[in-house]
Amino acid sequence: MKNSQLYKGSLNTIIMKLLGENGRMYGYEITQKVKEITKGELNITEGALYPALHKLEAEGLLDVEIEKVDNRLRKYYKLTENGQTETVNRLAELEEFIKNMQSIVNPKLSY
Amino acid sequence: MKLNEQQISQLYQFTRQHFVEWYDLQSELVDHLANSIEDRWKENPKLSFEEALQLEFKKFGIFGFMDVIDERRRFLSKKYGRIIWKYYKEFFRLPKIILTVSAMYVLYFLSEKLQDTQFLYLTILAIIGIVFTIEIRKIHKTQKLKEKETGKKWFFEQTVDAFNVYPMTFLPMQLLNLSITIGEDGWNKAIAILGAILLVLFALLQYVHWKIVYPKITQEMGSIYPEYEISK
Repeated sequence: MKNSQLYKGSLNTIIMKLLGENGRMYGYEITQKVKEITKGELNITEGALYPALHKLEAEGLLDVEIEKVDNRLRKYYKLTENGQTETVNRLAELEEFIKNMQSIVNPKLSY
Repeated sequence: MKLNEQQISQLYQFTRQHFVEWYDLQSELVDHLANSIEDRWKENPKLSFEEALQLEFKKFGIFGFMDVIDERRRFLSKKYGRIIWKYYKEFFRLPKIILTVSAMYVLYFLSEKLQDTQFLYLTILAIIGIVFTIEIRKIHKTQKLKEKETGKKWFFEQTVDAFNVYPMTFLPMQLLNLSITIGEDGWNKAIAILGAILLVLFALLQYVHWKIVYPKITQEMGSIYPEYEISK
Protein backbone atom coordinates (compact mmCIF):
# COMPACT_ATOMS: atom_id res chain seq x y z
CA MET A 1 0.00 0.00 0.00
CA LYS A 2 1.26 3.44 -0.83
CA ASN A 3 2.37 5.45 2.23
CA SER A 4 1.18 2.50 4.19
CA GLN A 5 1.48 4.03 7.66
CA LEU A 6 -0.92 6.84 6.80
CA TYR A 7 -3.50 4.63 5.15
CA LYS A 8 -3.29 1.71 7.54
CA GLY A 9 -5.65 3.11 10.15
CA SER A 10 -8.32 3.76 7.56
CA LEU A 11 -8.33 0.37 5.85
CA ASN A 12 -11.36 -0.92 7.77
CA THR A 13 -13.31 2.25 7.06
CA ILE A 14 -12.45 2.04 3.35
CA ILE A 15 -13.69 -1.57 3.20
CA MET A 16 -16.91 -0.75 5.04
CA LYS A 17 -17.61 2.31 2.91
CA LEU A 18 -17.19 0.27 -0.28
CA LEU A 19 -19.45 -2.49 0.99
CA GLY A 20 -22.02 0.11 1.97
CA GLU A 21 -22.05 1.42 -1.58
CA ASN A 22 -21.80 -1.81 -3.51
CA GLY A 23 -23.76 -4.27 -1.41
CA ARG A 24 -21.75 -7.48 -1.40
CA MET A 25 -18.18 -7.83 -2.66
CA TYR A 26 -15.42 -10.42 -2.62
CA GLY A 27 -11.83 -9.77 -1.58
CA TYR A 28 -10.28 -9.41 -5.00
CA GLU A 29 -13.11 -7.16 -6.16
CA ILE A 30 -12.38 -4.80 -3.25
CA THR A 31 -8.69 -4.45 -4.18
CA GLN A 32 -9.65 -3.74 -7.80
CA LYS A 33 -12.33 -1.25 -6.86
CA VAL A 34 -9.96 0.74 -4.67
CA LYS A 35 -7.40 0.77 -7.45
CA GLU A 36 -10.03 1.97 -9.90
CA ILE A 37 -11.42 4.75 -7.70
CA THR A 38 -7.99 6.11 -6.78
CA LYS A 39 -6.73 5.62 -10.36
CA GLY A 40 -4.06 3.21 -9.18
CA GLU A 41 -2.74 5.51 -6.47
CA LEU A 42 -3.89 3.33 -3.61
CA ASN A 43 -3.13 -0.37 -3.72
CA ILE A 44 -4.49 -2.51 -0.92
CA THR A 45 -2.16 -5.44 -0.32
CA GLU A 46 -3.54 -8.93 0.02
CA GLY A 47 -1.66 -9.46 3.24
CA ALA A 48 -3.55 -6.57 4.81
CA LEU A 49 -6.96 -6.99 3.19
CA TYR A 50 -7.87 -10.52 4.27
CA PRO A 51 -6.89 -10.11 7.91
CA ALA A 52 -8.96 -6.90 7.98
CA LEU A 53 -11.97 -8.63 6.41
CA HIS A 54 -11.75 -11.56 8.81
CA LYS A 55 -11.45 -9.22 11.74
CA LEU A 56 -14.53 -7.26 10.72
CA GLU A 57 -16.37 -10.54 10.22
CA ALA A 58 -15.38 -11.70 13.70
CA GLU A 59 -16.58 -8.41 15.18
CA GLY A 60 -19.99 -9.06 13.67
CA LEU A 61 -19.80 -6.10 11.30
CA LEU A 62 -19.65 -8.26 8.17
CA ASP A 63 -21.60 -11.28 7.04
CA VAL A 64 -20.43 -13.83 4.47
CA GLU A 65 -22.03 -15.72 1.62
CA ILE A 66 -20.36 -18.49 -0.32
CA GLU A 67 -21.18 -19.17 -3.94
CA LYS A 68 -19.81 -21.36 -6.64
CA VAL A 69 -18.52 -19.22 -9.52
CA ASP A 70 -16.44 -20.52 -12.48
CA ASN A 71 -15.70 -23.91 -10.88
CA ARG A 72 -14.44 -22.36 -7.66
CA LEU A 73 -15.91 -21.05 -4.43
CA ARG A 74 -16.30 -17.34 -3.94
CA LYS A 75 -16.74 -15.70 -0.57
CA TYR A 76 -18.79 -12.53 -0.59
CA TYR A 77 -18.80 -10.03 2.25
CA LYS A 78 -21.62 -7.66 3.12
CA LEU A 79 -22.39 -5.31 5.99
CA THR A 80 -24.56 -6.54 8.81
CA GLU A 81 -27.06 -4.16 10.40
CA ASN A 82 -24.49 -3.42 13.06
CA GLY A 83 -21.95 -2.87 10.33
CA GLN A 84 -24.12 -0.30 8.61
CA THR A 85 -24.44 1.80 11.75
CA GLU A 86 -20.76 1.44 12.45
CA THR A 87 -19.89 2.55 8.90
CA VAL A 88 -21.73 5.85 9.44
CA ASN A 89 -19.86 6.40 12.72
CA ARG A 90 -16.48 5.57 11.30
CA LEU A 91 -16.97 7.75 8.23
CA ALA A 92 -17.91 10.69 10.44
CA GLU A 93 -14.82 10.03 12.50
CA LEU A 94 -12.64 9.88 9.40
CA GLU A 95 -14.08 13.13 8.07
CA GLU A 96 -13.39 14.80 11.37
CA PHE A 97 -9.83 13.51 11.18
CA ILE A 98 -9.38 14.84 7.65
CA LYS A 99 -10.74 18.23 8.71
CA ASN A 100 -8.35 18.43 11.67
CA MET A 101 -5.40 17.40 9.54
CA GLN A 102 -6.39 20.00 7.02
CA SER A 103 -6.28 22.75 9.65
CA ILE A 104 -2.87 21.60 10.77
CA VAL A 105 -1.34 21.10 7.34
CA ASN A 106 -2.96 24.05 5.70
CA PRO A 107 -4.06 26.56 8.37
CA LYS A 108 -5.07 29.28 5.91
CA LEU A 109 -7.85 27.16 4.41
CA SER A 110 -9.29 26.09 7.67
CA TYR A 111 -11.82 28.79 8.41
CA MET B 1 -9.33 -16.84 -20.36
CA LYS B 2 -10.63 -18.71 -17.31
CA LEU B 3 -8.74 -21.17 -15.14
CA ASN B 4 -9.70 -24.78 -15.68
CA GLU B 5 -10.53 -27.27 -13.00
CA GLN B 6 -7.08 -28.78 -12.96
CA GLN B 7 -5.51 -25.37 -12.40
CA ILE B 8 -7.93 -24.71 -9.57
CA SER B 9 -6.89 -27.91 -7.83
CA GLN B 10 -3.27 -26.91 -8.43
CA LEU B 11 -4.04 -23.68 -6.57
CA TYR B 12 -5.54 -25.63 -3.67
CA GLN B 13 -2.38 -27.69 -3.56
CA PHE B 14 -0.31 -24.51 -3.65
CA THR B 15 -2.10 -23.09 -0.59
CA ARG B 16 -1.59 -26.40 1.23
CA GLN B 17 2.12 -26.29 0.42
CA HIS B 18 2.22 -22.83 1.92
CA PHE B 19 0.81 -24.00 5.23
CA VAL B 20 -2.84 -23.15 4.76
CA GLU B 21 -4.39 -26.26 6.26
CA TRP B 22 -8.04 -25.37 6.36
CA TYR B 23 -10.37 -25.69 3.44
CA ASP B 24 -12.45 -22.64 4.41
CA LEU B 25 -9.40 -20.38 4.16
CA GLN B 26 -7.91 -22.22 1.18
CA SER B 27 -11.06 -21.55 -0.86
CA GLU B 28 -10.91 -17.81 -0.33
CA LEU B 29 -7.23 -17.61 -1.27
CA VAL B 30 -7.74 -19.84 -4.30
CA ASP B 31 -10.48 -17.56 -5.60
CA HIS B 32 -8.27 -14.52 -5.04
CA LEU B 33 -5.28 -16.04 -6.83
CA ALA B 34 -7.50 -17.29 -9.66
CA ASN B 35 -9.01 -13.83 -10.20
CA SER B 36 -5.66 -12.10 -10.25
CA ILE B 37 -4.14 -14.69 -12.59
CA GLU B 38 -7.08 -14.27 -14.97
CA ASP B 39 -6.59 -10.51 -14.91
CA ARG B 40 -2.90 -10.93 -15.65
CA TRP B 41 -3.80 -13.05 -18.65
CA LYS B 42 -5.98 -10.25 -19.99
CA GLU B 43 -2.90 -8.01 -20.06
CA ASN B 44 -0.43 -10.66 -21.09
CA PRO B 45 -2.01 -13.80 -22.57
CA LYS B 46 1.37 -15.42 -23.15
CA LEU B 47 2.18 -15.66 -19.45
CA SER B 48 2.20 -19.26 -18.20
CA PHE B 49 0.01 -20.34 -15.29
CA GLU B 50 3.02 -21.00 -13.04
CA GLU B 51 4.65 -17.66 -13.81
CA ALA B 52 1.44 -15.76 -13.15
CA LEU B 53 0.95 -17.64 -9.88
CA GLN B 54 4.47 -16.83 -8.67
CA LEU B 55 4.00 -13.15 -9.52
CA GLU B 56 0.71 -13.03 -7.63
CA PHE B 57 2.03 -14.92 -4.63
CA LYS B 58 4.85 -12.40 -4.33
CA LYS B 59 2.28 -9.73 -3.66
CA PHE B 60 1.48 -11.39 -0.34
CA GLY B 61 4.96 -10.40 0.88
CA ILE B 62 7.89 -12.40 2.21
CA PHE B 63 5.80 -14.21 4.79
CA GLY B 64 3.41 -15.46 2.14
CA PHE B 65 0.07 -16.46 3.60
CA MET B 66 1.37 -16.41 7.18
CA ASP B 67 -0.23 -13.10 8.19
CA VAL B 68 -3.54 -14.17 6.75
CA ILE B 69 -3.36 -17.52 8.52
CA ASP B 70 -2.50 -16.00 11.89
CA GLU B 71 -5.28 -13.47 11.80
CA ARG B 72 -7.70 -16.08 10.60
CA ARG B 73 -6.79 -18.44 13.40
CA ARG B 74 -7.17 -15.75 16.02
CA PHE B 75 -10.50 -14.48 14.85
CA LEU B 76 -12.03 -17.81 13.98
CA SER B 77 -11.23 -19.10 17.46
CA LYS B 78 -13.09 -16.11 18.82
CA LYS B 79 -15.98 -16.52 16.45
CA TYR B 80 -16.48 -20.25 16.98
CA GLY B 81 -15.84 -19.79 20.69
CA ARG B 82 -18.78 -17.41 20.74
CA ILE B 83 -21.03 -19.85 18.86
CA ILE B 84 -20.07 -22.66 21.22
CA TRP B 85 -20.76 -20.46 24.23
CA LYS B 86 -24.14 -19.47 22.77
CA TYR B 87 -25.18 -23.12 22.54
CA TYR B 88 -24.08 -23.74 26.11
CA LYS B 89 -26.19 -20.83 27.28
CA GLU B 90 -29.17 -22.07 25.26
CA PHE B 91 -28.87 -25.46 26.89
CA PHE B 92 -28.63 -24.26 30.46
CA ARG B 93 -32.04 -22.70 30.88
CA LEU B 94 -33.97 -22.82 34.15
CA PRO B 95 -35.49 -26.35 34.03
CA LYS B 96 -32.08 -27.78 33.24
CA ILE B 97 -30.45 -25.76 35.98
CA ILE B 98 -32.96 -27.19 38.47
CA LEU B 99 -32.26 -30.69 37.16
CA THR B 100 -28.54 -30.10 37.43
CA VAL B 101 -28.78 -28.93 41.01
CA SER B 102 -31.05 -31.88 41.90
CA ALA B 103 -28.57 -34.29 40.35
CA MET B 104 -25.83 -32.75 42.49
CA TYR B 105 -27.99 -33.13 45.57
CA VAL B 106 -28.89 -36.75 44.81
CA LEU B 107 -25.25 -37.59 44.34
CA TYR B 108 -24.31 -35.99 47.62
CA PHE B 109 -27.21 -37.74 49.34
CA LEU B 110 -26.02 -41.09 48.00
CA SER B 111 -22.49 -40.46 49.16
CA GLU B 112 -23.80 -39.79 52.71
CA LYS B 113 -25.84 -42.99 52.63
CA LEU B 114 -23.09 -45.16 51.26
CA GLN B 115 -20.40 -43.79 53.58
CA ASP B 116 -17.76 -44.48 50.95
CA THR B 117 -17.69 -41.22 49.05
CA GLN B 118 -14.41 -41.94 47.42
CA PHE B 119 -15.42 -45.24 45.89
CA LEU B 120 -18.72 -43.87 44.62
CA TYR B 121 -17.22 -40.77 43.04
CA LEU B 122 -14.28 -42.53 41.49
CA THR B 123 -16.56 -45.15 39.96
CA ILE B 124 -18.79 -42.48 38.44
CA LEU B 125 -15.78 -40.55 37.20
CA ALA B 126 -14.37 -43.68 35.60
CA ILE B 127 -17.68 -44.42 33.88
CA ILE B 128 -17.96 -40.88 32.50
CA GLY B 129 -14.33 -41.05 31.40
CA ILE B 130 -14.77 -44.33 29.56
CA VAL B 131 -18.06 -43.36 27.90
CA PHE B 132 -16.76 -40.07 26.56
CA THR B 133 -13.34 -41.36 25.58
CA ILE B 134 -15.13 -43.85 23.35
CA GLU B 135 -17.45 -41.14 22.05
CA ILE B 136 -14.61 -38.70 21.26
CA ARG B 137 -12.59 -41.46 19.60
CA LYS B 138 -15.56 -42.17 17.37
CA ILE B 139 -15.92 -38.51 16.39
CA HIS B 140 -12.19 -38.19 15.68
CA LYS B 141 -12.21 -41.35 13.62
CA THR B 142 -15.06 -40.05 11.46
CA GLN B 143 -13.25 -36.71 11.10
CA LYS B 144 -10.02 -38.41 10.04
CA LEU B 145 -11.82 -40.65 7.58
CA LYS B 146 -13.65 -37.74 6.03
CA GLU B 147 -10.42 -35.76 5.86
CA LYS B 148 -8.73 -38.63 4.06
CA GLU B 149 -11.60 -39.08 1.65
CA THR B 150 -12.08 -35.42 0.76
CA GLY B 151 -8.61 -34.03 1.51
CA LYS B 152 -10.32 -31.19 3.37
CA LYS B 153 -9.66 -30.03 6.89
CA TRP B 154 -12.03 -27.63 8.62
CA PHE B 155 -10.89 -25.13 11.17
CA PHE B 156 -14.01 -25.31 13.30
CA GLU B 157 -13.52 -29.01 13.96
CA GLN B 158 -10.21 -28.21 15.54
CA THR B 159 -11.77 -25.39 17.57
CA VAL B 160 -14.42 -27.68 19.00
CA ASP B 161 -11.63 -30.01 20.06
CA ALA B 162 -9.78 -27.20 21.76
CA PHE B 163 -12.76 -26.57 23.99
CA ASN B 164 -12.67 -30.12 25.25
CA VAL B 165 -13.14 -30.18 29.00
CA TYR B 166 -11.66 -33.61 29.62
CA PRO B 167 -8.50 -32.39 31.42
CA MET B 168 -10.82 -31.05 34.12
CA THR B 169 -11.16 -34.65 35.31
CA PHE B 170 -8.07 -34.18 37.40
CA LEU B 171 -9.65 -31.59 39.63
CA PRO B 172 -12.28 -33.83 41.31
CA MET B 173 -9.66 -36.58 41.52
CA GLN B 174 -7.22 -34.34 43.36
CA LEU B 175 -9.91 -33.28 45.80
CA LEU B 176 -10.79 -36.88 46.54
CA ASN B 177 -7.16 -37.60 47.20
CA LEU B 178 -7.02 -34.70 49.60
CA SER B 179 -9.95 -36.12 51.52
CA ILE B 180 -8.00 -39.31 52.23
CA THR B 181 -4.92 -37.48 53.43
CA ILE B 182 -6.73 -35.09 55.70
CA GLY B 183 -9.71 -37.20 56.68
CA GLU B 184 -11.59 -34.98 59.13
CA ASP B 185 -15.36 -35.17 59.31
CA GLY B 186 -16.23 -31.58 58.45
CA TRP B 187 -13.67 -31.54 55.69
CA ASN B 188 -15.04 -34.80 54.29
CA LYS B 189 -18.48 -33.31 54.07
CA ALA B 190 -17.20 -30.30 52.19
CA ILE B 191 -15.30 -32.57 49.82
CA ALA B 192 -18.42 -34.68 49.27
CA ILE B 193 -20.47 -31.62 48.36
CA LEU B 194 -17.82 -30.11 46.15
CA GLY B 195 -17.16 -33.49 44.53
CA ALA B 196 -20.85 -33.94 43.75
CA ILE B 197 -21.02 -30.49 42.16
CA LEU B 198 -17.89 -31.00 40.08
CA LEU B 199 -18.83 -34.49 38.95
CA VAL B 200 -22.27 -33.46 37.73
CA LEU B 201 -20.86 -30.37 36.01
CA PHE B 202 -18.15 -32.42 34.40
CA ALA B 203 -20.56 -35.05 33.07
CA LEU B 204 -22.92 -32.37 31.79
CA LEU B 205 -20.18 -30.39 30.06
CA GLN B 206 -19.00 -33.50 28.27
CA TYR B 207 -22.54 -34.34 27.25
CA VAL B 208 -23.44 -30.84 26.05
CA HIS B 209 -20.12 -30.45 24.26
CA TRP B 210 -20.15 -33.60 22.19
CA LYS B 211 -23.83 -34.39 21.92
CA ILE B 212 -25.32 -30.93 21.46
CA VAL B 213 -22.74 -28.29 20.56
CA TYR B 214 -20.72 -30.40 18.16
CA PRO B 215 -23.63 -31.59 15.99
CA LYS B 216 -25.12 -28.09 16.01
CA ILE B 217 -21.95 -26.36 14.94
CA THR B 218 -21.48 -28.97 12.22
CA GLN B 219 -24.97 -28.19 11.02
CA GLU B 220 -24.34 -24.46 11.11
CA MET B 221 -21.21 -24.91 9.03
CA GLY B 222 -23.38 -26.55 6.39
CA SER B 223 -25.36 -23.36 5.99
CA ILE B 224 -22.27 -21.13 5.89
CA TYR B 225 -20.24 -23.39 3.62
CA PRO B 226 -22.42 -25.27 1.15
CA GLU B 227 -19.32 -27.22 0.22
CA TYR B 228 -19.12 -28.64 3.73
CA GLU B 229 -22.44 -30.37 3.22
CA ILE B 230 -21.19 -31.89 0.00
CA SER B 231 -17.92 -33.06 1.51
CA LYS B 232 -19.58 -34.87 4.43
